[in-house]
Amino acid sequence: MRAAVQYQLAVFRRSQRYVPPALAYLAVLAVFTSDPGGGALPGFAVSAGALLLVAGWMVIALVDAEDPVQRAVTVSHLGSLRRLVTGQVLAAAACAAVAAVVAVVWSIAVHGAASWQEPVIGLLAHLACAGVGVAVALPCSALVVQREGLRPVLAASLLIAVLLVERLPLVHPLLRALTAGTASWPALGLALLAAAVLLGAGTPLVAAAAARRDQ
Amino acid sequence: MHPPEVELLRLAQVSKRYRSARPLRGADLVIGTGEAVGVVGANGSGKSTLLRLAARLSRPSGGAVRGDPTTGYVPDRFPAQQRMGAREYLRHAGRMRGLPAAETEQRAAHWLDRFWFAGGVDTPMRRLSKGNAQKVGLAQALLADPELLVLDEPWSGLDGPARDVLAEVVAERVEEGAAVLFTEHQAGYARTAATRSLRLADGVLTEVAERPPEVRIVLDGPVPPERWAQREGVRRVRPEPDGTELVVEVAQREPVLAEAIDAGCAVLAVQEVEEPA
Repeated sequence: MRAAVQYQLAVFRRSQRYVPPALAYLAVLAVFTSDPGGGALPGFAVSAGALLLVAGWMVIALVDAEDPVQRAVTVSHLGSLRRLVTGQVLAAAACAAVAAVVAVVWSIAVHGAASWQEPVIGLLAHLACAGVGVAVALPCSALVVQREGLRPVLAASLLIAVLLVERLPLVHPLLRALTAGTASWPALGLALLAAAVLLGAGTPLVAAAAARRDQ
Repeated sequence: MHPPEVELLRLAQVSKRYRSARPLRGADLVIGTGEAVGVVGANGSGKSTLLRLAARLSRPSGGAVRGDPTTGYVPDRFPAQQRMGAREYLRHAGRMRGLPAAETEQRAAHWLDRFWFAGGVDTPMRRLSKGNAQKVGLAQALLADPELLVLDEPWSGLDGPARDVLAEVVAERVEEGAAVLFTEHQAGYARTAATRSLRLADGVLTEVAERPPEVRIVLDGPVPPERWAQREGVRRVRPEPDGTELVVEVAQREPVLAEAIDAGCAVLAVQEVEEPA
């Protein structure tokens, strides 16, 4: 699996499709989390919420980096479509994890760290949001959705719903707690659990849907 | 010598249906070790679909695909937008196949050299000519010595020396006990490289009957067409404005030419007859 992830990262890097989401995320960090008076936790709410969107953007761009013919050859090397999709998910998650680290380091640089818990909560919150973002956007990628113009619209709609709709308690309780400046471990646990479940169940489901798509 | 033929893959009554087309309608195919199976068919007849099913890259709408040999796959166009160089791409391909790095480097260099790859190993593949990209495609498929090679019109775009090398490689893989499944437009070429030829038409595969290769000879001289029509090895005779056209079995080419020259005929043309796909 390591080889599959390395290959996907190499294709993504060469395609330079990571540049727009990476720049957008840096812009969000620069504009919305650079106020030293705002506090670290509310800043995490903004940067983790933004990372949910950016991670979804990343996975769609990463899947798009290989054209369908090239993807078929990659599947022949890996032996199954599921391994390909798992490699793509892990590669996108790795990119999002780097963004999460950047966001937390940025926060420490701006706000300092009031306790050891703050950066830990921040990092875990970002990782949870990144995982949910990848999992929610994956079914909207080229693996399943053939119409290129439809993919970003579908993904953005779903991701914004996850972010803002109170009745979808995936990351919303966590972000609300962070915005209020409180560290809610149950909300963090729920978000991490949601990310793990969505990624764990969604990856094979998307692989199965992609396999059926050409039928 | 390769081991006795063992079944590697079986396609049983496979069909494939898309929204607007049904390229396969119950095709049967068994591929065993030590076989090179050539599939001929017109454009759009479903050859590529058949190969994708055989390479387990697509699922049939009906029927079953049994067997799971390690497979090397070369699509009919390779690749469309890959920005990596051949060296880096093959390194990743080797890793994904579980080959050690040093062995991958060695094998990649071997196959690129053997196919006379001349595009620059670090040149982004999307800047390579069709022929050089095809050579990288062949190298990635051969890298890990797969049990089954699935090649979609592999001779397309290759230059003369590389075409000959590919024919040698197919023969070697068969001799080593692997299997090769390929498509080709030209039935004659498919027959040369294949141990068995199949035709795909109307969504069904049929064996191509063995028939000795033929040549077309155009003669101008005193021998009447009726006499040629009775001669052994002459399949067809047709009067032409500037002489007489004979279609002759290749084995009878030299005797017929010698006889024609002895009889005072001028030889206007000798051409290989290419069977239509």
